[in-house]
Amino acid sequence: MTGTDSHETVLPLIGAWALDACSTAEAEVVEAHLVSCPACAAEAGELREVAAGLAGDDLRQSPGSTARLLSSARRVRRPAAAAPAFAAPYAAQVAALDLLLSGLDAERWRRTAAYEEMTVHDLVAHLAATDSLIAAGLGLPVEPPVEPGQRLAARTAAVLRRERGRPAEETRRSWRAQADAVCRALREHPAPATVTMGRPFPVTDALLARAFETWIHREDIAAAVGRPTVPPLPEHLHPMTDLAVRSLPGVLTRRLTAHHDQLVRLDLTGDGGGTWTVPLSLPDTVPVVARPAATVTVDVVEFCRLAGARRDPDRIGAEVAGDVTLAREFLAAVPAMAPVP
Amino acid sequence: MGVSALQQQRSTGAASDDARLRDRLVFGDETAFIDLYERFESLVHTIAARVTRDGRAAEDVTQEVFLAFWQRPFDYEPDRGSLRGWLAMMAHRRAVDLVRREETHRRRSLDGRLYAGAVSRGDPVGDQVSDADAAERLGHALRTLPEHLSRAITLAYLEGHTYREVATVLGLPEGTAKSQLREGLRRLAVALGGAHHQEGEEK
Repeated sequence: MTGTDSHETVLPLIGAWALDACSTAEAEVVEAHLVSCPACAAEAGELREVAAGLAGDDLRQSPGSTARLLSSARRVRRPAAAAPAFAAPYAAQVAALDLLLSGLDAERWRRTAAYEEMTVHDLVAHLAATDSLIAAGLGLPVEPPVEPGQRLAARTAAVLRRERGRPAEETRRSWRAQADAVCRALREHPAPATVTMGRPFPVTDALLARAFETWIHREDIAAAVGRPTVPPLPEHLHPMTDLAVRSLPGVLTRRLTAHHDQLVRLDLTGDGGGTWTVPLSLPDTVPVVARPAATVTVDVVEFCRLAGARRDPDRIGAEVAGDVTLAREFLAAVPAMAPVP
Repeated sequence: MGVSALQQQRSTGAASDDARLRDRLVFGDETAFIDLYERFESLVHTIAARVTRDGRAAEDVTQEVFLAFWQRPFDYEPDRGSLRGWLAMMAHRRAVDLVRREETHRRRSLDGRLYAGAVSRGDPVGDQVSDADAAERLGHALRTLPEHLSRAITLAYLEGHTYREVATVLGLPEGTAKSQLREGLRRLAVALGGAHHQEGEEK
């Protein structure tokens, strides 16, 4: 059927479609056409909105329906774990990744999702491995036990050895259970000031770093399995971005040795963004002058993907002003910070 | 107000509110789920109750609609329309499927005493679906239409008939039934569309 034929067939059916009064086959023809015809899609959308009001909205369910719905909802999909504010971004990323992983078939679990060799299953084990360092720091039992001074790569290797011998769904369940246990422990007990993830981190930053990495790998997995994804909510993205920006001077001080006394203004646009002034060296090494030498303006989500080494600094849609060379060197150094170990 | 003007309105605040609510569900936010339920429960339930005319079945449809959204929040695509319209569609489709599956038979035997049938089950939601109440509600939405258009829309949307069945019931050619359904909705869109959108944005 050509586009025009389809249009001629669909247009008279739009009213019936909006009222669910077509046959199944006709509804499929209409819906296929709407994807490619903005005029029909606009009319169909508008008539749907009208249909929504035809029955009224004056009837209520019997008492207790809310409690019944909530208990069913928790059974079919566990909500994000309750957590203190600094761990809420992590709890949210965990819930969204768990949603993405629901109902994956064996073939999708085996697809390569990152680093040219890690499958979806491996990435979930990798997330569980780094999470387990926090869990251990909070006194929770973890398997296999964390060795004193264990580095991140060694920890991932140890957990991968264990998880590759288990069904992917079991890895998913124990990853989720551990994440929820971390949130519960943070809510119920006073948290230690720092936890060790390769090196000591303030516990608040550690949870933001886990939120960041869980998000970046969620995007890896979504791309690998062909499912939709959304960036973090703005109120979660902002502190995660702030962590990434705060980590920058430590990286830049090694990468941009010629510019130690300078500042770059970073305008991160979009919900959850903001403006940061970034010293190009650790603040205590060299006193900095007050005016930024360059300004970099880029979408906040894209900046985070760059920080996670998921974007090419030469291709990212950034506007630079002031010392353009410096701004470009700055962007080129961002992926090296890798808040995603 | 024309369709395109309404689409433009839609692209502002209400659309981003709907997208945000969807996203909060993606992130497992139970509070957002409760907000969603409190906002749209009566809409979803009323559609289910009016179409199924069975309080118990309507409660099941209502629970299914919200549970399905909680489990698969990406099924709703904010670019394609309002959350209200989408939830209404989900409720209506499930209710119509139920009615069509169940029978022809049961409906025919109940015809003429449809509302009495729901009331006789003795459940409180069924009791609310009285003849007078339904007439008043429908009158409110459809009063602006000529009788032949409101009759066609009522048969299709609230009684769950296909346009072919509508044609048979009204003794019309199928093409005429189709165009009456479209014409009726288009007239309602012009008469009521603005009001619906304002209502959506206030909430």
